[in-house]
Amino acid sequence: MDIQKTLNDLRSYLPIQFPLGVFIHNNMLFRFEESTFHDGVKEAGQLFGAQLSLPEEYYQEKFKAKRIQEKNIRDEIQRWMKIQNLPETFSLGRMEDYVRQLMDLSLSIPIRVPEESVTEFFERAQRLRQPILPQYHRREKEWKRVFRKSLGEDVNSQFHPLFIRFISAYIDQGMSTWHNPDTHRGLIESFKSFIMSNDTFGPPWIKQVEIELEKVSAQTAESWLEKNITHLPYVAEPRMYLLDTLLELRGWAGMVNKFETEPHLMPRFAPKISVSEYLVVYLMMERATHDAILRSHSLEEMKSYYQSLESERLSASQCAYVLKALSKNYKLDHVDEKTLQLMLDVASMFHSHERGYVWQTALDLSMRDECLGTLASYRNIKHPFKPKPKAKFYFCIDDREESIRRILEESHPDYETHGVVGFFGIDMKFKSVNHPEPITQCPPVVNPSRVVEEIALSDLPKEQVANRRKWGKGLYGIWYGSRAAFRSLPFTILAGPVTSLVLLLRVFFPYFATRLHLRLKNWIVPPIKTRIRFNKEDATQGGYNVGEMATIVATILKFTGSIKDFPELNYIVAHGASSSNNPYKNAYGCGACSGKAGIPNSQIFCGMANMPNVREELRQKHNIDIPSSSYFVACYHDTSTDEILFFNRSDLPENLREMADQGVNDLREAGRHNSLERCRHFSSARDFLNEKITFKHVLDRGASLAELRPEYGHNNTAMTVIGRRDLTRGLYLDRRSFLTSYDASTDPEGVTLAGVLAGAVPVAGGIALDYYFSRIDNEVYGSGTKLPLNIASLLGVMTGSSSDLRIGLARQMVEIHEPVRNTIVVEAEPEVVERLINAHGRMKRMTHNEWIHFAIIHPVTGEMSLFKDGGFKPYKPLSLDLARTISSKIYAPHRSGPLPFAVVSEQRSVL
Amino acid sequence: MSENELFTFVLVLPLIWLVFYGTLLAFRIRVGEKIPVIGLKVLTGILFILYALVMKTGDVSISFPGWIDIPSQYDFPLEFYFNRTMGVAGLGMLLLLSVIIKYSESYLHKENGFHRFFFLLSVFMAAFPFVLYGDNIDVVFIGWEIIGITSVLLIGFYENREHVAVNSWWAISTYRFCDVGLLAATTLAHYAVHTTNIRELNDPAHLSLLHPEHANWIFFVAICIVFASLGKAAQLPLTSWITRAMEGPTPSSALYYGALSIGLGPLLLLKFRGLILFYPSVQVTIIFIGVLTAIYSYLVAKTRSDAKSILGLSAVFEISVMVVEVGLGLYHWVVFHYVANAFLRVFQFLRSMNSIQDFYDNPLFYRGAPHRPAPTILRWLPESWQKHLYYRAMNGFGLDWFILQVLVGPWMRFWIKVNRFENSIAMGDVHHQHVPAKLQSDLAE
Repeated sequence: MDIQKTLNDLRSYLPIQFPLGVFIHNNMLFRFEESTFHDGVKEAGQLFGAQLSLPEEYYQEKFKAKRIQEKNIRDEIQRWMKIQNLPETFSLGRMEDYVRQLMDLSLSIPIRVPEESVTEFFERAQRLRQPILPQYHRREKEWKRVFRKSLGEDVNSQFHPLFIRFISAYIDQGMSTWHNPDTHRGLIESFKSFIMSNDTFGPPWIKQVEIELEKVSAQTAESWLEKNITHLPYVAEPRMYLLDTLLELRGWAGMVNKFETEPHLMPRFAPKISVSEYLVVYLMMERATHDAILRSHSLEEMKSYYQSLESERLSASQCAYVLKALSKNYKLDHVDEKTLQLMLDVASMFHSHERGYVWQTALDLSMRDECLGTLASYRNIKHPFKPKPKAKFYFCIDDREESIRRILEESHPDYETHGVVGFFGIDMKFKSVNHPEPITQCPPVVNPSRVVEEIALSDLPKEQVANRRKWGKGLYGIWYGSRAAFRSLPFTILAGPVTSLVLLLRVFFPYFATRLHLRLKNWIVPPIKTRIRFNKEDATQGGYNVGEMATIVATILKFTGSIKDFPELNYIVAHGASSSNNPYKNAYGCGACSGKAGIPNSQIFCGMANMPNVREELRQKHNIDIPSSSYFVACYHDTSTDEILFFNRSDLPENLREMADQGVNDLREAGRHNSLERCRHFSSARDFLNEKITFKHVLDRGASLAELRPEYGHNNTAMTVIGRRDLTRGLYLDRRSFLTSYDASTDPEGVTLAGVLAGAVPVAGGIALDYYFSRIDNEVYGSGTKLPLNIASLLGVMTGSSSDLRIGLARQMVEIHEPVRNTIVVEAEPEVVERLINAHGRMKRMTHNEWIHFAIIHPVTGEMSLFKDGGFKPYKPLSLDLARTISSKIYAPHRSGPLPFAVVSEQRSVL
Repeated sequence: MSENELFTFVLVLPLIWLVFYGTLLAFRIRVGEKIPVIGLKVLTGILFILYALVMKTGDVSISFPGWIDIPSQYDFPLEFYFNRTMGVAGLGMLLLLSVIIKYSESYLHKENGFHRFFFLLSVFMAAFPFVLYGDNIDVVFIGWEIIGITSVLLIGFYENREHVAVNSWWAISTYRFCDVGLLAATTLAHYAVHTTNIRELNDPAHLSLLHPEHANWIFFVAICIVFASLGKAAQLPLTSWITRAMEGPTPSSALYYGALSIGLGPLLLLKFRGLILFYPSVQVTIIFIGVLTAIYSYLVAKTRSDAKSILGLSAVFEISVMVVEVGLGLYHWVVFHYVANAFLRVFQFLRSMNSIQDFYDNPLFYRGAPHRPAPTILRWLPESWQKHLYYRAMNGFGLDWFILQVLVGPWMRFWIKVNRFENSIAMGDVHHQHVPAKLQSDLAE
């Protein structure tokens, strides 16, 4: 067996999650995208032992609330019946109706797990004393299950805590005060030292490992694995056994994999480590524990376990229960035995997992149909006269910006908003004055081309530079010094009384306390006036030359189709999120800026677009004429607190400053109303009366230590619209839609569209799938409840003090999410889009295998087509009678749950 | 109101609230999240006022008639004694509780077990004064025991996880093991000196004059008290459960293992200071244990790499220094240290989820391996010794294995043998058929 090749294949099953400090949303079943969505989800579910759907009650409630259409349920039942090869009809009527009734009954029949190999396994165990692992089908290794159930010995709990402690300390990024001294020598070497040092008072199996380790020293980890894997107990198929081993603690294994394959992305440093070393250490400990347990037990003891194994078929009482439930709907008196048997078989085949999955897919399709139906129906409502825009606002495409854009346009019909990818085309790493390392400020799919540096406007006085160092050192000093250090004794005595005050303030007045902290910091380390050197001519590090700058500006403007009629003010609004005590901070940030806030990007973009020679270049090369009276204004929207920042006021000509202030004030007003709309999801703030109260509330939310839900992030995300704003302007989309501006009429060849699709589709699709899986099975694909989480090694979170490194999103982050795939709607010619999809590897995979729904609105005719079975097929959207409301400020607040999409009639009067 | 009545209210009000809230829950009356929060807030508010009033007067001593009263022979009175030193500790507790209540209000919002958490918090609030102000061992024992139980129930808050169950077993086993000490102390004191009153016990010279025939027994009472304090304070050799205790919601970990519950050890010693310090050997013993634990937790905490374990062990470090302080007779200092440590650790626990941000935002967070070599006081050792010590500390100096193999293993094996023996007598044959034949044939039909 070629161990290197096998390992490289197995790696792809490991979680793709980065350390939380550089967390990025992505489809966590990335590995399975090669298969279709349905197959991939099922395969992954079996492999990881994950659920395929939420409990049935969830969907039954959704069905009652008309969030699931009967038609979609029927379609899904048909699909299921086809897979199971069931006949269309049987003697009591149509099979479909029968199956549909089973869904309402929610019979709890045990799922049949193929267990036939277990008895076989035991026979072999008796014969050989070295049994062979039966067929793999669960997350737990079979022999461990046998040990647990028959001997009462939990193998994992006997060595996992130690193993986790060891690995965690080895890849630690600075949390422990005393760092592992052997990180440069390799994991096995370090493990060897560990074993040698603990030969007394160690675990009972230490001697065995010591002997084993001596054998390893002469060879590499890979060759050890190659030689020994087949000699380990219960290994029938080495590949499967290795995969099993990796999946035991897949969070940690995944992190080790990242350390090996992408060491440059780790927060601080990557110690010498590899997955094969990880495997060697794990297998050694596991083997030794296994032997130690067997020494104190006899195989006889396992006997009772097999005797207690029950047959997995329906028992008589279960049959009776099913028949009784069915007899309410069917007259079963004169039914022949064969039909009864068929009905019972179908009932046991259609167990709760299958039913749940049918429900789940029906929900998913209903949402898709609702999205498409809404857009189609809204397109039929006539456009009113549209005034020439007084100002344009460029937001991120993020679904969280949908509401503020809508509210802004609602109260100011002469404003126009656009959605562009939130890094504004600036593919850089940004080196801030306040941070020693450059930080990536562009999407994960884009390779940052240069480092742009921010510098202080004037040379800092010496003592200020020293103060900054002292501040940093002081923070470190407090961190390490207050944790089990001898200097922590005087520190506790002195700082204890002070912390009592800080604690009270932080908990009772969170926002006030953070302001106070900022004041204190600014007093010790005064903020400095800075400038970003993005122009190549005066750049100290990387910079852009005029041609590049013009291209960036032109690309963004072309995306939105606004290449003429520039208003005087164009606001570039970046976004980010502030939250406190939140290890998942990156998950709330701007996805297009790799989870950071897009502040430097909007500043740089405005700087570029306001430069006269860039405009000259734009005029000549790109045929875009920005009049000299037009200016770009850099702003920032905090999606947690709904605060708005305004950066380049001093760069604007004096006559425009007041006007710009006016626009920013309107934006702030919209932000406050946005907070009112957002608060409807927080049950503690749902009933707050007006935007003033809710605004104060969200400020506290963003600052509070105790707040697990500073905002609900991308919850309920369902759709991505790529097209003109006219498609959606004045439509209440419930913060569920990514909105990307694109005007097909300016781009017949689809040159611009290629960039738009590549930027938006994988990101939106990935975010939706990340939420989808974290919601569906929060224990396997998510990190469970946030309450007992514990930060490990500055890399991730554990539940309690020694668990696997958790992956995915916490329960509180996804609890109101409606798990659906993203529906991408593009307003362009189908041929163009199809060509572009097939040209982009990831997008092709996701679309062809239905990990996203891909639909098209023809820009001229408005006809819809949907991607299915390898190509776009005409699609007849539902004709919906959309709800109407005077204003979304009235429609949304105080109501819980997802709301139906609605027409805000102030925007488009119906003729 | 007289100070006696005020003090009675301090003790009784949390109980009244507990009974009220408990009744609501027991009868499954639907209560929203607001009721416990508001109730507890009002309660802490009133208690603050009462404390302020009682603190002004200083020493208060009250005694309720006991639950067992054999006329002219013996009685078990419920005695309480308030002094300013303990009052400070009580006020500290109250302040922390009010923070924890406010914090948990949003932290546990919508969580399964919201009411369970607040109920356990109420129980803690009612039981804590028993330990602080109880004036005889019986009363202290009540509070002591109840706090132990709430602690374990909060560790096992997520009871559906397997390792949570294992870890709460560690905690409860340690607690019960050490509770034996308190129970034995009670029995001994009742038997030998016919009183369990702490103030009387704290004057062993006088007691041995009164009961010269049992003068030596008082020494054993002191030993038992020291033994009882070890478990909750996580002193050696019972330290290793503390990192296992981090399974519950953060606020409960903060309250119990950062601050209050873990500090009960030194507080108990403080209450019995007269008794303990009367015997130089006991005094030396607790100083010895304290110093050893301090060194132990110091080293182990330094090698841990997860936020809560580090904090838990740091708290143990402070606590063991407090134990030493009690041994040295620095009474007021201990209470001050206790309160200061409680605030600091609770604060650190509550914001422990911020650690990643803390590091990333630091202006000195450079790329490159963190330079954190062995602590300065160990650098004079040869490098191989430092390494050796590092790996020993990572394994917790084998304490877990020591407990499992030396203490638990033989004990379990003994009882398994007893069980087998009993079975063989009762059933006649160990390899018996589990299901009676008749029942089997019935089932087959």
